[in-house]
Amino acid sequence: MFQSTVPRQVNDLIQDLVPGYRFDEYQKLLRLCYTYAFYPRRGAPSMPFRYDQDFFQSVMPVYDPTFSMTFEEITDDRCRWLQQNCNDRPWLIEYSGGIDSTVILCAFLRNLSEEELKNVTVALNKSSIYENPGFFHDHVLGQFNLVDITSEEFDQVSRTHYMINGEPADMLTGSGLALHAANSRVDMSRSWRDQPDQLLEFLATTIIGDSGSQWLYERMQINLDGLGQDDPPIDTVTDWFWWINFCWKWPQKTLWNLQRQTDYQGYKNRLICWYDTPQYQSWSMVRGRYSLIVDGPTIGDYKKDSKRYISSIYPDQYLQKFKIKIASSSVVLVNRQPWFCMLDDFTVLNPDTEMDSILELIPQHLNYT
Amino acid sequence: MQSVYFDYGIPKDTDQPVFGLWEPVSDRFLLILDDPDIASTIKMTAAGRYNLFVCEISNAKNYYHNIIDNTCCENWTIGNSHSIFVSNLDHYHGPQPVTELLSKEGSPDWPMQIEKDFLQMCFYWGKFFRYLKKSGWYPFDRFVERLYRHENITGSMSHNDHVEHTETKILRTLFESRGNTGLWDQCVQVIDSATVPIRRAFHEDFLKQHD
Repeated sequence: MFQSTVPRQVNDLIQDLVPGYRFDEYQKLLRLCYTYAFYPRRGAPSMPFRYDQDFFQSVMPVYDPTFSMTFEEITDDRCRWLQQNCNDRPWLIEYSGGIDSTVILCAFLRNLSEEELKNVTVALNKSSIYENPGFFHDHVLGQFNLVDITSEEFDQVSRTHYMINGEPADMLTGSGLALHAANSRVDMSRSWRDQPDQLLEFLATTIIGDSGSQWLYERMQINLDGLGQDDPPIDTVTDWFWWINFCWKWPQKTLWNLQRQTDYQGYKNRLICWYDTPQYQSWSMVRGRYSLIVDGPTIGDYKKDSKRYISSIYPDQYLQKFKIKIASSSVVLVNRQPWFCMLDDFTVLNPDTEMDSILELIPQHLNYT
Repeated sequence: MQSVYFDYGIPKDTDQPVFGLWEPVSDRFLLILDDPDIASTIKMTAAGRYNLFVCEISNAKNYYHNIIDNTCCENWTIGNSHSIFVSNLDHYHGPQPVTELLSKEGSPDWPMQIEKDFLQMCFYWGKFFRYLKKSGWYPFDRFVERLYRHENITGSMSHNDHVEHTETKILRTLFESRGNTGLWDQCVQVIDSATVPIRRAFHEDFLKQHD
């Protein structure tokens, strides 16, 4: 089951069945990931909804501390994999102008022939240009087919092309919340277990309030206490933030765009989340998650490996120094009926009309003892 | 020596609000000015180089007239940078409050004078087009043109169209620029290829007033 926002009736049911579940704190926490759920992929289950590996297909690899491929090697490899395995239909890339989707375009420019580039369509809007006008004019305009992501033409090509996006790149290096914590003078190298005070204070003042921060901390502790020897060590505050993204937010970040579709099954079959691979994940476990500490504490140091990769095509000093992450502004304008959840057969259930069915199905999708 | 387009950024009226454009990576102010609309436009114009945040500095608890201007703004930062979640798109709309101005230790590891100079140019052009659009019948003409846009009353490009066309060309020149070499001259060339009224307004009126 893939689940969206949580109506009060559903929360009341969960309250009865799941020990430790707190509706208000959970709702606040959902603001961290645009109101979609958390599905811890590893460790003890401490969030209400069960992680359905068959549906999400987001498998976390076994931790390999000796993994040594570089970001550059993995990215070029990824492009070559697409060339070999996804040559049965043209490609469409959702380009926001941000670092992650720019990396993908650079991978294409590095590895594809002129002929192969003709089969690539770039979907963008004006804010994509705003984010990186130099790169757009030098390397996008004239090199790729372009389509406005708000147009009907986009709707048409999205039904025929492989849909490539830059998810879940932010889950590899810690994302905006970790940056915000670092910017708020939280000591990211502290032990989250032995010295949680700064972490709790940051959570309380920034996100979730005093009682919520303690609740979240306890949920996380339960989850992490369930890790085994195949799992990466989670010692510092940096690791802690990274784990929320890498473990908890990863599944829904690969599928949140389903909300904007009508042909759910077709979209899921053609969807390629560029960064959702065992290699990127292994890289994240040994290198990416330490980005804030290793590459430097300023927000301009964020995603340095990605920036270095981009510089092989677009050696712009401003991008290297000043480009920071901002939330993607690329929005597809759709007018869809809101649904609460999606079943394995891609049926969606609307809480206004199908609440009885939802309540009947919920218990088998919860984590409870 | 200061450029012909340099502006201290502080209004004569001490009650008027003052704004700063704060850059989060270097954690410094790069421009001080008194017009929030021009500040927003400059923020967008500079987006190809860096993300700037418009901050209302005159509300800071330690602010007083002349504590900061464009001769020294890069030596100052905001005391509440942690409250600006720089990744959050919501923080890109409207001026950010500033609780306190803090002096910034150490020199930046980037030639900030170049960026300050660039933003001064943006500010200068913003003031010029603000001046053009406040003069004559511009606002009234623009109102009527908006109502009858699709009816093409006169069939030709009006003075106001030329003003906005020229402004667009200058903004685009600034938006796409990398570094400042020759940038001022490029912008002046746009003016020199515009209509006579615009050229006259620049060379004979505005430039002299701000010399």
